[in-house]
Amino acid sequence: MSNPEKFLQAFMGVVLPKIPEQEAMAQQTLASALVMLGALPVRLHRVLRAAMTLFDLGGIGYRCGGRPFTRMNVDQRQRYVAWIQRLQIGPLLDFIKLMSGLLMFAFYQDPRLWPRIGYAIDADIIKQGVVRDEHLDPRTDSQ
Amino acid sequence: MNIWTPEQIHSEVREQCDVCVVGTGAGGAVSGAILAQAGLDVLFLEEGPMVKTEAFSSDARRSIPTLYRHSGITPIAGRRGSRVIFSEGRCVGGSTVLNAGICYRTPRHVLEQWQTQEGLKDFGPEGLDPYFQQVEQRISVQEVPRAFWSRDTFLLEEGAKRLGWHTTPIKRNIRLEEGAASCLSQCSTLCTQGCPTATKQSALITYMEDALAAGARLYTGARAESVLTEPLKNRRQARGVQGWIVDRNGKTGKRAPIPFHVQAKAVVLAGGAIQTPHLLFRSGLSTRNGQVGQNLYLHPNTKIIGLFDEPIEAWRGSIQGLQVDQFADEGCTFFITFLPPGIMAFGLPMHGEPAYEVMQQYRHLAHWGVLIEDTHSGAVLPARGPDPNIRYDITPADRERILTGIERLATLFFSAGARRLLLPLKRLHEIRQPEEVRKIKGLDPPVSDIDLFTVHAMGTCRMSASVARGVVNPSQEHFEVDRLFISDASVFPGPTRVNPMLTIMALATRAATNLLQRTF
Ligand SMILES: Cc1cc2nc3c(=O)[nH]c(=O)nc-3n(C[C@H](O)[C@H](O)[C@H](O)COP(=O)(O)OP(=O)(O)OC[C@H]3O[C@@H](n4cnc5c(N)ncnc54)[C@H](O)[C@@H]3O)c2cc1C
Repeated sequence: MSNPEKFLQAFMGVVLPKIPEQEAMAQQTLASALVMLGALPVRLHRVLRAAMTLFDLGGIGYRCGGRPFTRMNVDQRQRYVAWIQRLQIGPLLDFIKLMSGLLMFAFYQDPRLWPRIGYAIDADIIKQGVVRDEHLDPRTDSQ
Repeated sequence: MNIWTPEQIHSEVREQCDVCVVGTGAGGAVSGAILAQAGLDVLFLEEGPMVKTEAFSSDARRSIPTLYRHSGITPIAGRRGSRVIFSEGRCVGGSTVLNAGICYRTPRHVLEQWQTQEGLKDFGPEGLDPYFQQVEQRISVQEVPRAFWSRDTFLLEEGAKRLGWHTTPIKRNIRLEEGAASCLSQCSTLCTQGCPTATKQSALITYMEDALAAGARLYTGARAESVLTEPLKNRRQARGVQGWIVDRNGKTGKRAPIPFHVQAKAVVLAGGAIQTPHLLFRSGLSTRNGQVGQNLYLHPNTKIIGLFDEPIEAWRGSIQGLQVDQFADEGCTFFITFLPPGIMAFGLPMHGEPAYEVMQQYRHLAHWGVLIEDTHSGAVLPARGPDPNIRYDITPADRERILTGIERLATLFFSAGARRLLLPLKRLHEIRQPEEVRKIKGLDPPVSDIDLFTVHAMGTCRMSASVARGVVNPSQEHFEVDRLFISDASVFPGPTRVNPMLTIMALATRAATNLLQRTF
């Protein structure tokens, strides 16, 4: 079975934009996406793990890669994902969308990125102390 | 101190009470509060954590996995590859903590239909009026002042006016006192992660506070696994609830799970329209008529992202202020919503640089949706694992409704001045001209190609006077198990057509008031 962490890490290079902050944000992005993944329904989680394995191995038969997705370089990974998207197979499109969705969620929700997209929570609401982030524990302390 | 968290519990829990309430959302909180205020010894079991107002986080990476079941992603599959993503709360206060707070009374014609179809005698508007009034007063239902409308609410209004479409101002459960101004001025991206200023009057800060003040006890991180019953003549009667102490993901942990047993004179189930039938199945309490889990309605919705030339900053303003109800009779209503950056990005139809290019225009985005009244129901079916087995098909008639809804929503966007639309369709991501709207139906997309969502699950334990049709009777008591009541969205005889929270709360008020007439 493919390791979700390794898989998401490989996927990150495909779905996130190449901006200077990306490297510094990578670890947090991966951690947050893994938390989201860990909370999904058990059955969906199982299906996704199997899909990750198949997707990974599919790279071996792919003409420009010839190796598992997680061991391709970023360019090959991008071309591989684009090729799969062109096949227009519904479940594969859904899989790509969910995986990229989880990573994009984690990435764009990082306040370090917000100045780049012009989003800011007003200072007055922060001044009132009503927006606090340190209280919720993002760890998954589960099996 | 009458609240227990999993961290405080190290060994098996054994408790006794008059009424055990499972779930603390719209239905559970109201039921428990009314019963506790009348002097009954009430004990709540809530699977999720207690997160107080001062701890709500603007960081969705933390708040969503903490407050939503399955991080807000519960896929509901159906035939022909359809999939509806369902989101619900899993925290004290339930989905009311996360919802947009839109408050509608059940439309009169819906109540009349329920009255005649299910023999619910007091379901005329006059019969339910006092309960609606009571709830509206407690949760402070009022129209959102125009001063708090977001820029895109005005754009929606202008767009609708140009088309001659009717709009209605929205009422929400908001308290316009201290903190409200700053909160409502940017509530679009905060509200669905828990209101940080206590402006939104969720069940957490209204009915749950009332219940706890009246002496009710609350176990958080306590997942009910089954309802305990005992024989009573040729029927059964509820005598308590058992379950497990769980972590923030709803799991029992690897080593030595901790059980709890609550002995009660009556049990109220209020886990929501998906979890309540699941709990009945696990307890072996389906009804002989096979109705448990049936009649699942979802009000599927889908959204379009519109890009405008002018900066809108749609997060500034109340999350909702106006709806377009021109086509409500055709089962289709248009609404506004806005999302924090991460959730917006999650829903984009592309990734990589093209997604970044859209996100760089976040200030120019609007996010509007269409809500569909479904004509066909699905079901929650018995399942072996921890999660319910949910099936819901999109019929050709509902698919037609959804596509018509998307077309009309696109028309509304262009009328409001949008210059580019990102569509919820797998094979048509984008249109830029009003003439392209007809491509939507022209493409004839299968249901598997449409992104669908819902936050309105209803109707899996139907209330009816007919033993052949209902799971609960008009007093919301299980037809085959005495002293087992259900008080959540599952008792609806059908879809409400409007947002359901107020109906759930009014029915819970009615059921709890009736329950007080009973002696145990
Ligand atoms: C994002 C969002 C926006 C919404 N916007 C609106 C809106 O604007 N207006 C509106 O009218 N409606 C809205 N809704 C819907 C509305 O909030 C719900 O329909 C309503 O809260 C459902 O009430 P309920 O009592 O059935 O369940 P909930 O309020 O969901 O409460 C159920 C509770 O039971 C707990 N529970 C479940 N199973 C168990 C178990 N086995 N053991 C212990 N505890 C359990 C859950 O953790 C949860 O806390 C929205 C919902 C969401 C998620």
